[in-house]
Amino acid sequence: MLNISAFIPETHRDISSGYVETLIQARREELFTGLMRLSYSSGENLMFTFLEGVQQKLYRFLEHSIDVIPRQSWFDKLDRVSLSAGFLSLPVEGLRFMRMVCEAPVVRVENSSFDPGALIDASRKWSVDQEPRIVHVQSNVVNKYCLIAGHSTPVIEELTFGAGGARFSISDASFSYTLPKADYLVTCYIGHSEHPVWRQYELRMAFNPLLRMLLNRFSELAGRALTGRLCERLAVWAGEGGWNVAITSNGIVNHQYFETLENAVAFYTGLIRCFQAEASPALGARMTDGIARDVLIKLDPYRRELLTRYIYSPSGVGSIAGVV
Amino acid sequence: MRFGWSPKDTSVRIRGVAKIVALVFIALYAGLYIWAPFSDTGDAIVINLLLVIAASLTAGVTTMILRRYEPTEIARRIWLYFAIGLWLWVMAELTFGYLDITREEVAIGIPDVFWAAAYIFFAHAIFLQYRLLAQPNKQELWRLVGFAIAALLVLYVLLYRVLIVWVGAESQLNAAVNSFYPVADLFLAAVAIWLIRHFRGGVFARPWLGLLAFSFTDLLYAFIDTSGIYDQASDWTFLFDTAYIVAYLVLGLGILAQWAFLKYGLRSPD
Repeated sequence: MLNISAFIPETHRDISSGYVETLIQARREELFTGLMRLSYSSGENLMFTFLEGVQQKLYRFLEHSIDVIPRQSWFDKLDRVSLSAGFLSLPVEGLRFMRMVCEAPVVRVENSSFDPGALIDASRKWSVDQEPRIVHVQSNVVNKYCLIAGHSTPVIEELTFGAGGARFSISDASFSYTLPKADYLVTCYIGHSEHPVWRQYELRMAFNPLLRMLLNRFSELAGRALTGRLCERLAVWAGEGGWNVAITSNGIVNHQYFETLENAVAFYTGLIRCFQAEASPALGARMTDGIARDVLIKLDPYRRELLTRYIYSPSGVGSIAGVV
Repeated sequence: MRFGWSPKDTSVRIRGVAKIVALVFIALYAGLYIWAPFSDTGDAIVINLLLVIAASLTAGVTTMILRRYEPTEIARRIWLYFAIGLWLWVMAELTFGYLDITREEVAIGIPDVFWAAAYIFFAHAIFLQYRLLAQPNKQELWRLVGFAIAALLVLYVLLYRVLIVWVGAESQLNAAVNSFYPVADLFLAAVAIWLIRHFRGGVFARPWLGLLAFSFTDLLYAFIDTSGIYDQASDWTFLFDTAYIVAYLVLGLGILAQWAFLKYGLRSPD
């Protein structure tokens, strides 16, 4: 099973629960974003996630699964003697990645051994597969995890562990081109795309091209200057809502850590509503809907269905005529 | 903002002032037309001057829109061709006004060259606007262009035959020119309706509402001019001459609304 906490170096050994509290307090004060590993002499491993100093979740690594420990039980879990702790700093994107690793249920595990050439072929196959997977690629010199959502999602997110910590990066199906020549032990943790954690990931991947294309189309019709101001308005709306995103005429850079799929859907729906409200006075409601229809039709059927189901739904911003 | 107004207030005030100016302008035109306070030549100079001013204001506002777009944008090209068309109309009004003042009757000639040439630029602007909006593939585009040209040609030939055979046009040139305007106006009106439907409820629909108003007025003008009503009844003449200047101003106000939105719209209050 994915015991990713094993890659967090232990920096404090044989410490008391009181000292753990002190360490946590220090991380809160420094607005730490990343992971905190707690290992007990019994062999039990726990992991906290921190977002800007705020503890988000506590995971317990079991032999075959990872539990999410409810917040009310956190104190009981920490109230022990003799434990070890370690920290791993991560960007928000890395923290989102870890949430996927810890919360996406695994349907089955496939182990294989590949050279880089075979890995390229395999990763291309996985990227068009119907099933999403977390891929762990290991060799003497490489230790990385990749999120491959399948359904021709062009982006592959990677988290690479090394001596200097963990590095988050974005790649595509050809990510293994950069790997040094070696034999790689590859473990695929295959999930199912209907799970909310994967849904949230896929929705984020689908929303980026949607918004970029909406803004491009608006720009074609209304000009770049007005589009720039529209983006400012959208950014103000997002800022007022406390959403950690940057919106420019090139689209959205999403640094938000959504705790649930519902939160993510609420944000995306709100942003599209804001776009409609701002674009309609210029282009009219019909044209604004027309833009959305054109953009949705241009997207591939899987992402179109996803966006129609969660955003352009009667409970979202409303369905768009002519888009199935 | 200057005067401490928010962008929205500035936009509302500019459009409000423009509407008042337009109303005053129409009242002045109508008053001068009815009471004719100067000599015949003086009245003709003022009336024609007002028409040239109205056309220039509309063309000027259209030129202002160009500055709201960047040079590489398609929307800028649309408005560039539209502005060229409107400036050609200004030239037409100017030369027509000059001939109207200096000659007893203005025959078909130089002003018609400007008027007719303007339609080429309007057609190109509309072609670009259609391509931008509908994003047709090459086959669809050429099919539509072919259909439009064929339909307009059929209509033109029909109208020409009607003028030659039934109305008894003074000359073939007269019939050819007088057939051109209604067909071109119908084309503009049809496109304007299509664009208004697309931009319904948005500021970007207003220039096309103005164009629709202009096309209808011009169409009516062409009808009463060809049928001879224009030369017979002074009431009708007054009505249609006023409607003509109103159409220019409505078109100008519609374009001004888009300009104001491009300049002041979607700005956060200071």
